[in-house]
Amino acid sequence: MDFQHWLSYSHSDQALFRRPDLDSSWDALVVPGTLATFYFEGTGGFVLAQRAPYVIDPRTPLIQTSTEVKRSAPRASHLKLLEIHDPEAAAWWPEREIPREHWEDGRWPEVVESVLDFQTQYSTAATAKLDKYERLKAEARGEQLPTPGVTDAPARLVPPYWAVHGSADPWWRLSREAISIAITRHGGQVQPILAIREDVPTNVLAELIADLPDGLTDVFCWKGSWDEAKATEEDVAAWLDAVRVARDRGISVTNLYGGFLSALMLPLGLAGFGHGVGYSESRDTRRLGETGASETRYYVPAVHGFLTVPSAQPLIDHLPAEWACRCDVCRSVAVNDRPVIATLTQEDRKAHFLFCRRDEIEAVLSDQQAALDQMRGVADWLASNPVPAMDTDRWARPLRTWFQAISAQLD
Amino acid sequence: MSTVRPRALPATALEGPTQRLARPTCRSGPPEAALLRPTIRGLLRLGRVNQMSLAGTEMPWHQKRVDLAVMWDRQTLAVELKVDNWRRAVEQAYINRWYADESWVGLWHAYLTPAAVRAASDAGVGVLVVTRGTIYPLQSPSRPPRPNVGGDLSETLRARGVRVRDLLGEVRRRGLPALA
Repeated sequence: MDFQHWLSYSHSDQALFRRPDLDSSWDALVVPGTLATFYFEGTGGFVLAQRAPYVIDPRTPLIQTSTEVKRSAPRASHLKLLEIHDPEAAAWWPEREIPREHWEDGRWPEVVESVLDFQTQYSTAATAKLDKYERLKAEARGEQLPTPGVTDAPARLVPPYWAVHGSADPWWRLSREAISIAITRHGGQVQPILAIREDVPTNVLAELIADLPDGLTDVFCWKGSWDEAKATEEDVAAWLDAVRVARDRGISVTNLYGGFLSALMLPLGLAGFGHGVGYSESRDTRRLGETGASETRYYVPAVHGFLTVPSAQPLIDHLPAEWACRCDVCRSVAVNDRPVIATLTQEDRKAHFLFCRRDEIEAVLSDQQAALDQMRGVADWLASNPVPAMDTDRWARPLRTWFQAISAQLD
Repeated sequence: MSTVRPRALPATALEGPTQRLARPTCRSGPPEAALLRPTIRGLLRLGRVNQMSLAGTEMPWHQKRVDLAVMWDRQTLAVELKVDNWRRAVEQAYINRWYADESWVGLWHAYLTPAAVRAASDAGVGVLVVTRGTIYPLQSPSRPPRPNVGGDLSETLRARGVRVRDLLGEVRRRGLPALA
């Protein structure tokens, strides 16, 4: 199985996933454990109706005791998530925090099995609304209802995991043990998530990969709050070092939350990357619970970044017209060869982003040097043609850094 | 002739000035909310609005808010008010050029600098000098880069239905900071 482009599922994106023209814009879904548990039938019906590869992310850091950040009050979905980990703790959390020692008292293997059982049973248990979602999908596409058949189990199984500081972190010992248990039960079907805290260097990922038990072929890596726009050359080198360490062990690395910089790393060995639709190219392991629908920004493909609608239009109009987006969505609202984005709906902006991301991946994989040169060209142009009154360098800076970081790896 | 009774403002109509704009500035100037009354009164004096013109503060436009927007003769006018952080005001007003027919910054007279006026000029943004009692237009704004860009502040102003006289009454009623 070779999935390069993962999308995090969210309820608000359902209509988008039904569009046949976006089918080629993603390979597989990451279904948050909160949605899979709390909206068991609805999420199950939708996800299974896609007939597409998916994994269920247990999102265990949501219930991780943190001394660094005061967590907001857990939602009902977080309690539901805890139930598949440990029903007993769900009776008294969050009145009392769950100390790490709670998981170390001998119950951890049972917790791991419970989380994995939820995933293995999902495709047969979460089918109550499958008919409804298959009908909605068929109607949206003008297709016949699919013939009833066997629903697909998750493409990979993800054991519970914690956000860690490094291989000496006691939380890593638990995560590693969970991976071992999962491999014993499910062998090569296991694709764990290695999550590191936002305050540790990226090269901790390589350290964790080196410490993994044998028997894996794929891992997701997640560096908390990693913002590609602020990435340094050292970050990129550390990611690619993790890729090399993993490759030496026969393991492929997928970045769970990334953007265009991750796409640039695909030809250098990164197996894939994931993100939400229109946001969430970065997630903080400590703030998983703080979700919510903010207004979707517009993805400006020339600078490979999201801008608010008010800020994006001046930049679009400032840049040469040949750099404006030519996707179907943007062409439909183009005036003088540039899209007028205030007229786009939220769904339009998300579809535009997915078209852009698909094209970016194709461009990078077909000619990485051309993609790098284009990026450098935009950065240079912005440096000599700043947008009046705006800090233009905020868009040019990441492009320069990415160019240098990736070029250094090619030398 | 019938008298038109002032309508009550929605609870959120002045959320911005009283909450966000009222914060003290880093220098010893007046709080930004204090610029609101002289600006509205100045626009009345200059004949840019009348008491019945649609007006609003903290007007939402997608992910941003415009400090003050008014509509007069089917033209929208946006003003970003700032006491001392003129760079931020000019950037915001530059963006407003895409969504309003005229985009201005209202800057407190004591901190007005040639650099601020030059930056506003480069950005095509008009400059209003705000004093204790009124405003003085120092520099006119350029025309919008994309007239009729597809929806603008006028829709929000119409939806709110607040008028200049309502806004002034509310400013008085809530006792927003007066200028020394």
